[in-house]
Parts: sequence; C-alpha cells; structure tokens
Amino acid sequence: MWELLGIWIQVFLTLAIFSFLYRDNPFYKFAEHLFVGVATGYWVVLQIRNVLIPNLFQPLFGEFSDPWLVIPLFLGLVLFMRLSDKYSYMSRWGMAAVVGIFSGLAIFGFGGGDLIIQIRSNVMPFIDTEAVQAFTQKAGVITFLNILSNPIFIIGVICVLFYFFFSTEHTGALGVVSKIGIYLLMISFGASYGNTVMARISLFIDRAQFGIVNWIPTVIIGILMIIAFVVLAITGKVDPKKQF
Amino acid sequence: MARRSIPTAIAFFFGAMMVVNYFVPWGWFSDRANQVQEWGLIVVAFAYILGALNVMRVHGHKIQRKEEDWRFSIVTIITMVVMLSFGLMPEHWAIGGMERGSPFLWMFDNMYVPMMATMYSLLAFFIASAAFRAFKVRSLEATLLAVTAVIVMIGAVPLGGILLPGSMELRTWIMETLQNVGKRGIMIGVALGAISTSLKIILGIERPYGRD
Repeated sequence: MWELLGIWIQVFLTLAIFSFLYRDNPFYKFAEHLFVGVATGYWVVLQIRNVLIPNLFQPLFGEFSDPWLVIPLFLGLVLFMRLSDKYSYMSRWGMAAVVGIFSGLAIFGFGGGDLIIQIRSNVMPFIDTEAVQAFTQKAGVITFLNILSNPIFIIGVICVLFYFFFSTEHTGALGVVSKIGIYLLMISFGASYGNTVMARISLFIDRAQFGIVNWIPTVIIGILMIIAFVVLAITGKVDPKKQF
Repeated sequence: MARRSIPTAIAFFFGAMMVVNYFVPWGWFSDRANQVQEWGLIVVAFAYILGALNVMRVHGHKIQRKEEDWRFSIVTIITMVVMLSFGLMPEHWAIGGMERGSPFLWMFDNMYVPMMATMYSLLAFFIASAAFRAFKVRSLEATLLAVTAVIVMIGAVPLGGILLPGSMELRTWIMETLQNVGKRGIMIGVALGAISTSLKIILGIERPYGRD
C-alpha cells in the first residue's frame, strides 16, 4: 500500500518538475516548495542525529565525559544571535571559529592534496617510451596521440598557468603562450561540459524509464495535469504567452 | 573595537592551532587539535539548524504578509515540520527513527530522491539551450569548446562509435589528456588562491565572517 502510494507520488513529483519545461506553473511551484521543505528537514535531522547527538549532547549531558564541549556548544548557540537585531554581532564568533578551523585545514589540504600532487604529476619525461613502443607495434591515431600526451601536459600546464599570470603584459611571444593557454582551457571546458550534459541526460533517461515502467500512474497523472493546465489557461491563472 | 577583535582572535586561535598541529603533531596538542576539528563540525551542525529556522522565518513572513505564492510557502513549512518530527522521534516509537520502513526514510525515498534526480535531469535542457546561445559566438575559442563537447558526447554513447569510428577512444584521450591539462592548471591556481586566502583569514587581513 505504502509502496504503491510512493510510486504515485514519485510520478506526480517527476511530472510536476518536468512541467517547468512548458512554463512556470503551480505544479512546479508546489514541487519546488515541497523539495525545499523535505531537503531542509532531511539535512537538519541528519546533522542532529549524526553530529550533535553523538558528538555533543551524549558526551556532554549523558556521560559527562568531556566538559570542554561547552565551548562548541556556546559557539553553536551564539550563531542563533543572528536572528536578534541587537546581538547579531555575537553570531560572528561561531562563524569565525568555523572559518578559522577550516582555513587552517585548507592550507595543508590544498597544499598537500592539490598543489604538490598536481605539480609532481606534471614532472614527467618529455617522451613517453612506452607510448612510442606502443606506436611502433600498432601505428594509429590514438597511439600517436598518446605519444603527444606528455609534451601536451608539460607545455600545456605552463601555458594555462601563464594565462592566469597578470604581472606581465600578454604581448608578443608571451601573448602566444597565453593564447595557447586559453585554447587549452576552452578544450578542457568543452570536455567537462560534454561530460556534464551526458551525466544529466543519463539522469533524464532514468526518470523517463521510471515513467515508462510505471506507465499507468504516468498516463493518468499526465492527463490530469494537461486538463489542469487547460483549465488554468482558460481561467487566466497561467499565462500561456509567458515564457519561463 | 571588541566586536571586531573577538572574531578575529577566535579565527586566529583555531586556524593557528590547525597549522601548528600539522608541523608539530605532538601527542597532547595533536589530540586537542583533532578535538577542535570535531568542534568545527558541531558548530556547522548548529548552522544547519539556523538555516532551517531562517527558511521557516522567510516563508512565515511570506504567509503573514500574503505575498505572491504564499500558499506554496505553507507546503514548505508543513513538509519541513513533518520531516523534522518523523526524523527526531525516538527509534522505539512506531513512526520514529531513520531506519528502513520509517516514515522519514519513506519521505526521503519517495520525495527527495526523485525530485533531486529530476531537478538535475532538467538541467540537461537548460545547459543545452545555454550552449546553443553560447556557441553562436563565432570565435576560435567557442569553436574549440563546441567541437570538444560534441566529440565527448558522441564518444559516450554506443551509437557514436558507429557514426564516428574511433570516437570512443578519442573521447578517452581527450578526457585523460586535454581535459586534465586545463584542469591541472586550474587546480594549481585554485590551491594557491585557497592557501593565500586561508592565510589572510587566519591573520585577520580578510574577515569573511563579517565586519563592522
């Protein structure tokens, strides 16, 4: 019974969100507001159950094992001063603690995790002997491109970094280096874009497949929504000329 | 003066503690620093609650003033309260807890998950229409972006391999080499920026937590 109801709700909400492709309408607005409510409730419950209860309330008020926890309790509670006009400045204490802690962690997180690793990965032989060997065994476009990979990495990353280097004017030979940097960035953005589109389309196929598998609720709710759209257009609640 | 210096001092104290802990991971101090990291997560959890209260306040005002679409704000508040109530009820109650079969998880599975997936899939259409507008700009940069995107998209589907033989291998090469060149440059830049910004925050030169 609950499973069946769940399927009908899922179909309704999926169609309600897709109806935005037609134009902004009450079904979409309903789904949008429902999503905000459910998402907010979900994340708050998750934080309370997974962070606050085991790491703060349990040890501080249940087991009395760590009195130092009054400090994060205080810093957390002062955040709510943001709701007061007079004492809103106190909320900065909690925010400053969070920003300070994560800034300190970010220095070595980005330094060790990104900066050093990326620079180290780019220190490579200009000619990849394995790629050359593979090309001699089986000559082709891809095996040839693989030989070019290392030079492209070594020269390309320098060009890209130079594009972000503003202490010197990008003219003459330096302008060419910077231009190559832009081209490589554009290719990179294009690849990321194409990949993102394909990921989104995969999600769309998943939702469409869900609608096809559960075709009875999809057809019924779809027809009811179309009727509702016609009624709303006639009564003037939805302006058919207004585009999203 | 104190209003300005207290947050700066707090940020400096906690930030410096994390930095010192990295260089001097000495037993007692290291334990305290790890504890402080947990404190950060606790304060963030309170920020989530503050966020929820703010959502409630904004939508409450909308309902009170009967602003445009105020009826939908009722939906937001009701679902949030219902979700919070189910989620925070003790496990031993019939409708409480977060286990499989609980109303909280039922709402999550049947409302949050499908809506999230649909919202993201909806973006495919908007990205496509945005790309159509962007690719109209006829320059070499835009052409490179468009051509790469098309090859990556074609190479991701089996039909692409039939229409354009070798597109799958070409896609793999683009993703592994050309995409990573740009990505690597950006990552190095972002890391340098993040490190310098973090240092500025710890030293009080920059105060993103607010200033008077």
